[in-house]
Amino acid sequence: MEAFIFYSVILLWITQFITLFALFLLFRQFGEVYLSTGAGISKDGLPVGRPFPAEVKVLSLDFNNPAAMASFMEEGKPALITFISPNCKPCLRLLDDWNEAFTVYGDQINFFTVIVGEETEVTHLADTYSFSGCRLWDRHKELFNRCLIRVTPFAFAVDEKGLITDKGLCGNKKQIELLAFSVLDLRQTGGKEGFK
Amino acid sequence: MALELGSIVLIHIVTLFFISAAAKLVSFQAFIDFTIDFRILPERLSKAAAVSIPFLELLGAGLLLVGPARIYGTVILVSLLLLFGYAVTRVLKTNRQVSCGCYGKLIDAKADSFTIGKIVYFLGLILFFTAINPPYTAALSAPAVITGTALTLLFLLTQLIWETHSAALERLRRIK
Repeated sequence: MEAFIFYSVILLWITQFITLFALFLLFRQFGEVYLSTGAGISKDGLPVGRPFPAEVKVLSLDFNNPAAMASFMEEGKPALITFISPNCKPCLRLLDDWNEAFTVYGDQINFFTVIVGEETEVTHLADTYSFSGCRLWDRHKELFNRCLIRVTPFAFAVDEKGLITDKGLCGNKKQIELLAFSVLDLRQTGGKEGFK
Repeated sequence: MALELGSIVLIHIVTLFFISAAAKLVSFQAFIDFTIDFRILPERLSKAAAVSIPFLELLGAGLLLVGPARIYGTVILVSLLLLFGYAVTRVLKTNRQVSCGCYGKLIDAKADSFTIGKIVYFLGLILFFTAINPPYTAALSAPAVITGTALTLLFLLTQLIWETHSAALERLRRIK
């Protein structure tokens, strides 16, 4: 009897591992279905023309104080807000381009990096990587959810009135520039030409 | 307990290589085509390798069951696994999608990261089995044979789950 139990336990353990493996694959497949197309993801986020939810509280990693997003935004200056997460490789690859864009547009646009993730991961990211502009932590993913985003890196361009002028996946310099141009164009034309 | 575990692992390795070799021999021409498709060796050498692989698998697995010749079986199987690992790594680097032909036409297994994991898994098992080195009589006990064979069938089931999942993902990505 003892031998039977011994061999059964081994088989049961292996069956458990296989079940877990199958579950993992199932969730992976769900993810693929859920995220749908790349174009679909680009359409994520609050629509262009809607106000950015700047009343949501976030924590500044530079001053370590929680406050409404609006309090960090300089009045009369548009903003680029990007959402990143610590375990997302495209987000980390974006940082160099983000810093470069800051040196070019930093005096005309406010740069915000909103990090979404656990405290230890966020602290590690903030300590390890340098990124220009204001660094914020969306502790409870409230801003992330209010902005209707599903994946990172995702960015919004917000004009001085707090309205969204452009949005989309933000993985490279070109995409940052497109977002920046949307707020700078508005400024130059006084907002008469509408949104891009 | 280690002795029983060693015996189960031995039967698991032997049955897997037997099934794998038998599946290759049943669809021999397809396996030769799969091997040529790896494009690592010239076609003639690929054919020669394809012809010898199933027999080497049978020989290596068979020798594991023979006490004194066990070490030769271990050397053959480890060499085969390392060669498979090298071939799959080369294919992965070129981003090509080819069938690994691991089970002939029985399961259409692709040469991918799962194959690498499989090779590492079997290298680990062989290492474990060599460390335990269970005696021939213990290895062929009924419970060890049943459990080891059941493990092999579960392993093949895992491979089947993986292949189904990969095919489903590919279909989903194509729809996009």
